[in-house]
Amino acid sequence: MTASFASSHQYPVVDDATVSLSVTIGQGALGSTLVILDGDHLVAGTGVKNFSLGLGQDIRGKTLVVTSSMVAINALTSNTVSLTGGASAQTWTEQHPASAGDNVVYVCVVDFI
Amino acid sequence: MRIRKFPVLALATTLGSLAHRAHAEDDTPKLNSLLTPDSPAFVILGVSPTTIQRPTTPKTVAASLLSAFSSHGRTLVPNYAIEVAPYWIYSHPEKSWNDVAKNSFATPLQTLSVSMATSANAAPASDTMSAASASIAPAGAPRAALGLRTTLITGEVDQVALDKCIKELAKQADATGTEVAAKIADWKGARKSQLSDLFAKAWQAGRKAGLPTPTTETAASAPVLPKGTFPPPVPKADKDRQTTQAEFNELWAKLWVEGWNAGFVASGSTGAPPPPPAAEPAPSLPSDTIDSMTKAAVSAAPTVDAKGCLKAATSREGFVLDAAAATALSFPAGSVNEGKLSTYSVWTTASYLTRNFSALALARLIRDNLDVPHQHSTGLDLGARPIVAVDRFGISVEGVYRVPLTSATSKHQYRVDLAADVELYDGQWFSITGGHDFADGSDWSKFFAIANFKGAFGAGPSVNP
Repeated sequence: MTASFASSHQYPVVDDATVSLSVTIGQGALGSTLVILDGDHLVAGTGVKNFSLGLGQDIRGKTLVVTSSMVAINALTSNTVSLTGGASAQTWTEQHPASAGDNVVYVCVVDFI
Repeated sequence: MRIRKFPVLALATTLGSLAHRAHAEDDTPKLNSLLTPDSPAFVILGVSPTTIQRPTTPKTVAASLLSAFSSHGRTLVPNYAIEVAPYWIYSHPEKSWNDVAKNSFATPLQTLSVSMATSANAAPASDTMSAASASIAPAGAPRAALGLRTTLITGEVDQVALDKCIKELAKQADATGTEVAAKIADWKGARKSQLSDLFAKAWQAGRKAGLPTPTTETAASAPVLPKGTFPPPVPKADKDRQTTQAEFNELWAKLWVEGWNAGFVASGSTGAPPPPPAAEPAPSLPSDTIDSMTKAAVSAAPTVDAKGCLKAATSREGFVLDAAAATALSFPAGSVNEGKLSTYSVWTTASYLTRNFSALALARLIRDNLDVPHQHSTGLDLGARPIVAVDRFGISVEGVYRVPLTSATSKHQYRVDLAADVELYDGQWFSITGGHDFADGSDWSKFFAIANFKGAFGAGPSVNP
């Protein structure tokens, strides 16, 4: 049985500033992240650090979908999505209790406005 | 690359004995019992609690600790057991797998576990230097123990097994993310299409209203939504649908007016556009939410062998060094104010693990009966075991040497045995052990004559490590 958690946010961008994304699967959990921007698969891996999503004017109106699939090693799982380069830096951390060996999927949806 | 685990005698059956047990086998240290324990407090108390509290937050830890005391707070509740990983009771969203697990030299705090337990009576710890404390301490005197365990050197992960797991997780993330993104795109596309149709309709109506003569003429080029017009985001959950519908309704009404006005201007008419007729009501949004999209996508995504992943993530190879310490206090008067230090012990186990071979060396120092006058004992146990394991077969030799450092237990004790394991079918093992337990004065020439053989059917980890 796989547990899933979804979150949804909006991120105000600035026309001529580059927006960067970082994703951390925390609590020492083993996992993999996929980043999709308006249907385009941008990057996948065990961690995403300062990945450039593009200029604000180019991504405004688009939707970012960050999916992290993980196996809990400890009693918590978490997924942290950070964006910089917009009107202000923003970090969203979702965390939920788990048991070691649980399969958990986090989906974070961000609309750029 | 990981060492095969062979079974402990989960269900032991004595097949035979070539000779009598010349020496009290139960008093002789067994290597498995000397390994650095996962829960040293339970081991030093000699208890196997059926219920172990494993709180995972500071609040639940505090609540659990309070429950260890009676209501007036002066006596301990018997049969209490708790095990906590202090580092992990606090959230560490910044600690990724790579931060924690791929460092061979673990931060001792990250691998630290603390165990505490109480017992109703003065039962001796298993395989302590002496069982005297059980008989000398007042019957029913409770004992309490505190233990710490950590891994100082974690070895390496099994990269092959880990890569397989990461691949499975990536597939799951890919299938889930792709499906959710597609559904969101569909949702947004449908809303955008509805808004575009509305805007075009309003534009046409405005244009017609601006033309000097009423006409059925339509514009050759369809107007597009004003730049920067985006449908509202997909509602996150059912509770957000009403808000999203309200946002959509508002945008609907706004675009109707904007379309009307733009069409009126496009007609070439001068002057202010007249108020538009009432717009038709905005359509109801579908019941999809990001939650529902995610759940559907996850259930359709490839599954992950989570238990296999946990095993891959926690198994180690190469050099591993574990250490533990525990102490026990007795409370002859029952009050927590009158506790006496009765025992303490320190363990360390060094292992070298590969797929087909492993070796370990261990040492345990124990001081016992400290609460019993003239019965203090101190002993040092040393042990070693190499294991060769190929496919379903394993063979190991183990030796333990106990050095009494004080006179309460005067004899040197040794144990040497040879064990063979074969996996009959998945998880079921047959084991044979032959060996010799002896102490000072044993006749070495009788070593083979008094060997015991045991067979066992059972599952589980075994000739550890």
